[in-house]
Amino acid sequence: MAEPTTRFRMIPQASTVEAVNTSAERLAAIANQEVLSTGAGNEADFGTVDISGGAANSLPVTVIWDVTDDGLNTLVEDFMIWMSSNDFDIAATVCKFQPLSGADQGGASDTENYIANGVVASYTWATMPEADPAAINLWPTDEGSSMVCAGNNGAADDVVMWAMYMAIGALETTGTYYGLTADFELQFSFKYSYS
Amino acid sequence: MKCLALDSEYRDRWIEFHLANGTVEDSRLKNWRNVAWDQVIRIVAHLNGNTHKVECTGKGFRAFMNFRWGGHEYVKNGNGRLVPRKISLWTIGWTDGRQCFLKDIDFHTGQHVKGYIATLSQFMGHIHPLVRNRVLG
Repeated sequence: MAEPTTRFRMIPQASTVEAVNTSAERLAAIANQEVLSTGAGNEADFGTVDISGGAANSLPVTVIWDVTDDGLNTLVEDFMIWMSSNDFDIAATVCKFQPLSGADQGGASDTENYIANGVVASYTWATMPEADPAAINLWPTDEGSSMVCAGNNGAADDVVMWAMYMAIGALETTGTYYGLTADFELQFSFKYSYS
Repeated sequence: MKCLALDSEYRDRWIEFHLANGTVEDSRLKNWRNVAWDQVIRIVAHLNGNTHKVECTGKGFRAFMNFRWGGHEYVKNGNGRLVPRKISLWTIGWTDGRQCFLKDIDFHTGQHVKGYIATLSQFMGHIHPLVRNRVLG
């Protein structure tokens, strides 16, 4: 069972609700999407947070994870994200996240429907764990626990989408937190099961 | 008809599914979804010279579980610094219909990583269709 090929995409906050309101649209290229990777310049960028006046938040970013080649598997599930050990010094500095769905998910419960130009006030947030949560904490946009693969080296039938932002505590050590930079490390981990 | 993955693509890594009638199915030749899962009495995983076995003798046994983990994470190296690592685990175990008793095996080394108990509700998609009623009934 070869491991599926997957990708992370960051979409503009200005993406319209209509751009993500069906699985077909979510799986297709979304205008001005950026494919994320650990390569320099391909990271999810939270921008600059000014804490000169005390604790402050970044703007949210919206990220999509999907399967582009199922590796002849039939299913992926148990989607988990966590902020890996990092070099923040202040306990109040955390990453907040919220699983998202498109407008096709009526009565969302495990997710919230995507909002164009979303800001921190747009969603309800949870603190992202800083260790493997050992239980699903991201859901496909239909709120099932899994996504079906056709088993023919194709895509899964939907995506996992979430918003996240950095809440920076007052008196946090200032600098550019980035990848594996000494004393300023910042990374995310992601895992899923497949069969 | 779906074309499903086989472990023949790997070197020295496969799983045997032992059936009650003595037949031994091989994941290099048959995808587990095509195995008579309701007849499996033992799973034996062979990875890189290491052998890991799961029997059907656990209390309340209803069916075997068989899936894998992918993704990436960051772990501390010998110098205490974080380094990126690809997650590549094979998981085998069994369920009593409520909980799963699982063991993770490192794909690269073939070593046992950890044993753990998790709720079955986390892994509903990995229940083989042939035992779904037996597991959830």
